Amino acid sequence: MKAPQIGEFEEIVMLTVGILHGNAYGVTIRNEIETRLNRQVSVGALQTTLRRLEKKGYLESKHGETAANRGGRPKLYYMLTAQGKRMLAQARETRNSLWDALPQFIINLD
Amino acid sequence: MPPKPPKWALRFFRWYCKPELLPYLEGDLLEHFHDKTESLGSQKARRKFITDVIKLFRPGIIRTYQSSQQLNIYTMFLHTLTISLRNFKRYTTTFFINLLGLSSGLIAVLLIYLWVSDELARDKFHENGNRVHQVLLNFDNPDNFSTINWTPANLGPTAVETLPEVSHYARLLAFDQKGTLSFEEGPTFRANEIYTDPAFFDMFSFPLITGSKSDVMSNQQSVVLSEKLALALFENVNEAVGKTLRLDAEELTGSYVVSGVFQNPPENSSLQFDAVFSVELLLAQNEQYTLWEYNDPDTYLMLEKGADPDLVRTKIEAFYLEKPNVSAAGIVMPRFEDKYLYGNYENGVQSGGRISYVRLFSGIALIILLIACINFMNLSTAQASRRLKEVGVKKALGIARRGLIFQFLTESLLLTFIAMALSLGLVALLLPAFGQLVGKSLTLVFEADLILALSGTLLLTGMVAGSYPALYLSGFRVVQLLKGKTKARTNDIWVRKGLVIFQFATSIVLVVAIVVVTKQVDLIQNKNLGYDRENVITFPAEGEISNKLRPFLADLTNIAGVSYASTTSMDLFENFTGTGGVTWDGKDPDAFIPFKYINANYDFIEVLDIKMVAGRSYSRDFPNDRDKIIINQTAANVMELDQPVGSIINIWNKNVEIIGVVEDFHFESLYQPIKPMFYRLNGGGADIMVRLAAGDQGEVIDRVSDYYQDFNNGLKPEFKFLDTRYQQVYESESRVSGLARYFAAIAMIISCLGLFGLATFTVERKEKEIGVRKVLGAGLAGIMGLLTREFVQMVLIAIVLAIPVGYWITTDWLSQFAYHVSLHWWFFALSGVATLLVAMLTIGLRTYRAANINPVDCLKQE
Repeated sequence: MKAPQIGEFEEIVMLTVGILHGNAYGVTIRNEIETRLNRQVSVGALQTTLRRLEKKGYLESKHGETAANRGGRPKLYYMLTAQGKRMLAQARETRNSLWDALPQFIINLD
Repeated sequence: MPPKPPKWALRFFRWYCKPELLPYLEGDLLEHFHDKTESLGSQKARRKFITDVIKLFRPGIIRTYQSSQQLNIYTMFLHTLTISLRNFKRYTTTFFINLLGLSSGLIAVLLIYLWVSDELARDKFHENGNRVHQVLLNFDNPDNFSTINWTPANLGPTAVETLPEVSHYARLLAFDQKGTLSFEEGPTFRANEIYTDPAFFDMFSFPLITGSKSDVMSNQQSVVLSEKLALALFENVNEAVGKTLRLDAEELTGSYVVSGVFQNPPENSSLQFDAVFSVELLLAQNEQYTLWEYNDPDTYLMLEKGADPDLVRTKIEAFYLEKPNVSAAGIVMPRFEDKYLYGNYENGVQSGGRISYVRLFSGIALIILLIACINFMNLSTAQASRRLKEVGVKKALGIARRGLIFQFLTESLLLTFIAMALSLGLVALLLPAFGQLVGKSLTLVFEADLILALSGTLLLTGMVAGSYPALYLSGFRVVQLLKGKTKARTNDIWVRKGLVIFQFATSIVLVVAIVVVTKQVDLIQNKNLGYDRENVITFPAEGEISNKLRPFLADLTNIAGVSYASTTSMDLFENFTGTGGVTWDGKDPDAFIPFKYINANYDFIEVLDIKMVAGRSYSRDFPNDRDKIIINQTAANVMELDQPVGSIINIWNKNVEIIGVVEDFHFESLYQPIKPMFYRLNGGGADIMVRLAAGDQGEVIDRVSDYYQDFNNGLKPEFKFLDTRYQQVYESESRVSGLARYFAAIAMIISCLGLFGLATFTVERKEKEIGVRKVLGAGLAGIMGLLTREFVQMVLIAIVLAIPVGYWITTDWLSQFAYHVSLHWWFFALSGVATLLVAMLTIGLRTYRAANINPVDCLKQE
């Protein structure tokens, strides 16, 4: 079987969920990515990615409190699972090993 | 008050979002909207909200079909399908009767649909079709008002010059007698030419294979060929361009350079031609073309986009009527693409045309479909007693009425679907034969239009057919159903009876129509026309023949097997030229009596074998016959001369002697009565007629054909038999009669199936009664009579209703013929009795079986 992999956007979403630690739900995740990375995030893409990651077992969700500016609707908080954390570490390792193998002069030339 | 997101977007979101995600996502959306309102203002926030909602509309967030209550509907649907299929299997006879009825109806509808859409598509392929109009002149003649396509040659150019709304004009001249084209010493081919203006290819979409629209006709000495003609003359299309061809036509001879080749005009084009020359060549030949009173070419105008055709028409009429000596009283300007379907004019106003056939057959298609639907309704309600337990159990278990209606509609749609598949297969098989019957090559191509029409018909038929049974079966009360008490309501009985009466009345009208149409077509085909139309071939005097007519005719009669040969100026079946310029002693000077006349050659009377009443025919033995005339009997009667032969009358201010009177013969069409006419001797004539001796004509025709080709540098002759041509004139009547026969048969079959269904229904309800009666000693005849009486009553009512309608319709149709069959009472009696017999046979088939039942079988269960 092929080793599980995650895509770039999935990685960003998972990292953001980790950063927000305990305060990660739809709106905050979106704002965080938009401000930190200075890029537009489509809600549709974000929400489907969140569902997908939860299905793969990298994220888990928890029913949260409600607020007045949400029209009385509850929040759905996301957290990294242990498996998700391992996945992130593995992704970083893969990347690092590739960086290590990269000859120094390639970067310098750039 | 806090700003709110657009309501509809929120509602849309709530509709599609998965229920388990809805509260969280809606919360997120609202919070985001709230944040954005503060930072960007409510306007932008609302817009952002809408894009968010749209972006969330994607798989993973949209609710799935199978969720919640929809799961139930899906299972119910599968259940309904299973039950339907089981029912089809269990009651095979009913299933096949239903299937047969519906598919015969659908076959009729599909065939008519294909024919109608082909008719409607004719001439509709021109890109600028909605802007191209033809100018027609209205003549206010003393005897009738006529609308004619001949126009002054100056009309088109003047319209373009003076009116900014008119962008292009094309005048068009074409002649019955076609010219021939040849390349160097090669063989001769029929040119089938038209003469027109350079804008022709801009206005009409006949795509060019080589050459460009703008300059293909810029040189008057050039010719544009069809692909077909170019390939006949040359190896390939490109080789043709630049070559010089020789044209030989009555109107024009000379050398012309091929400047382009166009694709052959499609079959659904009214304009059919193989060579295009400049019209200026002809106009320059004759000074009369500069006159406003001289009408000859067709004129087509293309209007600017958005121009109002009525306004343009008024303007053109205004300047036309101001010109000197104009002959017409007004103009009309129909669209070119409408000409085919709306080609008739009465008193200067468009009065239909082929569209009436389109409407007639569309109507027939709808009626047949309706009859087929009624059939299904009757059979389904007849089946009801078999389904009552099922319905009762379902109701007891809590099905809503809507659910039952849904079930029965699904069942009828499923059946319609199967019938549709079956009829599509049969239509594919029948199409070539049907095409021959209507004189078209039709094809079944699954394009968007056809698929749309098919699904429309499918839905409509399924819904109409299923509606009544669905409402009927779902309307019973549970307790009654389960107790087995189902007394039919009187209302339902009347509905069913009414439907059967309607079916039969329609079928009888169709039967009456075929009897009358067939009689009329027989009359036309076997009518004694006053001349012998058998064994006569005709062909146009083309090419070399038109130049050397006299030697051609002289040698033609020497060929073994040729009895006589002559020429005429007129097609026998088309309208003859008329004149008011005939006067005689004793004529009322104020009376306008139009005479028809024909210019013909020696032996015209002999070729057609027309009987002489008095006097003699033209003969080469008398030198001055050109100044003498022969008249028909009607003319002799109109003139009231004591002794017509030898009398001197005055034609066009010239005294002529009558040398003979011929028995009346039918010229023009049978829609017209025979008019007074005279026959003038004239050496020319565009049509050659040859009488062949009876016997083996194949060889004679071969000899004539060889002689023709020798004479005409290899040009292939186009011989036609006079009797075939005659039949072609009444083609549409023959076609209507042929089609009516098929459709009446289909309607009759479907109606009888319906009756059979109803007989089944009655027999099933009266099974116990029959049993009891038999036990008490009733005979076979008595029981059959009891069961049959009701149906015979219905058919009789249908006959009574249908005959006046049939009478009215057929009288109306016949009134357009000057010579028609008279309606006899037995036409109607025959149709009625035939229908009654067929109906009784159908019912008898079912009741005989019922009357023979063993009483034990139907009485043992209670």
